[in-house]
Amino acid sequence: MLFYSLLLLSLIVGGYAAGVALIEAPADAMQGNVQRIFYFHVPLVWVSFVAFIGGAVMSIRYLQTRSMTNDAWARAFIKTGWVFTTTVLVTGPLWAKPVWGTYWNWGDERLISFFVMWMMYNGYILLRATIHDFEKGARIGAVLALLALANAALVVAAIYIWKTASHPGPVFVQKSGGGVLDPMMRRAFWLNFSAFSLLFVCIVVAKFHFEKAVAVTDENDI
Amino acid sequence: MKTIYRLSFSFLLSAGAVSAVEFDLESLPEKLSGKVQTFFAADTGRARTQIAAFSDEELQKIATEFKKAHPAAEQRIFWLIEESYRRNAERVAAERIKFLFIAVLAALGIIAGFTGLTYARTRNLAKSASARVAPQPLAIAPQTPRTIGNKNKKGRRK
Repeated sequence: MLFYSLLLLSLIVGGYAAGVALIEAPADAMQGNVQRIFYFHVPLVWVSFVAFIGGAVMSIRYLQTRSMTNDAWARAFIKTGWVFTTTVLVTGPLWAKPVWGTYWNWGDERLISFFVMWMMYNGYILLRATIHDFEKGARIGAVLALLALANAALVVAAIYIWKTASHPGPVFVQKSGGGVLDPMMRRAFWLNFSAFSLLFVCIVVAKFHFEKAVAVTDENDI
Repeated sequence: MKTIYRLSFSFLLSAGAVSAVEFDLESLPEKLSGKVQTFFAADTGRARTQIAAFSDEELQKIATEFKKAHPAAEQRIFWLIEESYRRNAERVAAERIKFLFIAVLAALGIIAGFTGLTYARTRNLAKSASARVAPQPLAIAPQTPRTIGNKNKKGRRK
């Protein structure tokens, strides 16, 4: 019942947020309508990181307790995070092509570190699917989840360490204080942020129930 | 000597071209005139950053005054330039909307696909688990009085 309530709420908020982002918010003066991709792209990045932090926390708890419930939570977080990261990797290049003139910039450290992070979580999913001994898979997977989170921290720090040209700095957190977005743009952003966060919670809960059922029946998952 | 004449002629031509594109800044409002003068005096990089500072109305005024400084025949060239820019802007806007449309569809498609798959697999798993746990109806064979049969057939069942 909680799942359906959350799903309904996220769909209502998401529908309204999409309307505000695609119709109500003004188009960016320099980028035009393609900038609206950011209303989806940035919240997707946010939930991806929440998922990987959640996955790492649950992996630590698994290593402490060896409880399969914690492992099921870790798998639910990481697999959902992987899907959201994949979506980020699709929407980002679709924004970059008309603005940068290319889908991908191999010279940008943030893009590279993000791609490496995605590959590490690919590795996690493959590892869990190929090791049939559930406990062994959970143990190795927990260690890999922690290593991948270290890389995720590098993704966040990339703009400060390398001062990449494509990602020059944070948009919302300005040292001088204040924001750089139009109030309607901010509204569209925070609405989408809430909608994707709700949807994420909803999917993680559903995925957790699935992973727990898999652990119980000792079946394999993709 | 011929080279000197040629060079002098080229200089005069280029000077003439420069004066042709200039227009009377005094025809603009005082504030705007000062802004345009600063814009003209700035180097290329700085001038480019100043473009955004002009409002739509100011741009319109400058363009109108600039056009007035040119003969009617040259107005046609402006039409062509404006048409070229308009078509280019339309093409870019259409292309950008296409990318936005694909990105939104792709994002929602991936997430909906994953959610649907998770939901379907959870349901299938729950169904198969409940089928495994559910008590099977026992087929009770009618009890027939056991007959004393041949000892050699002991242990054999039909």
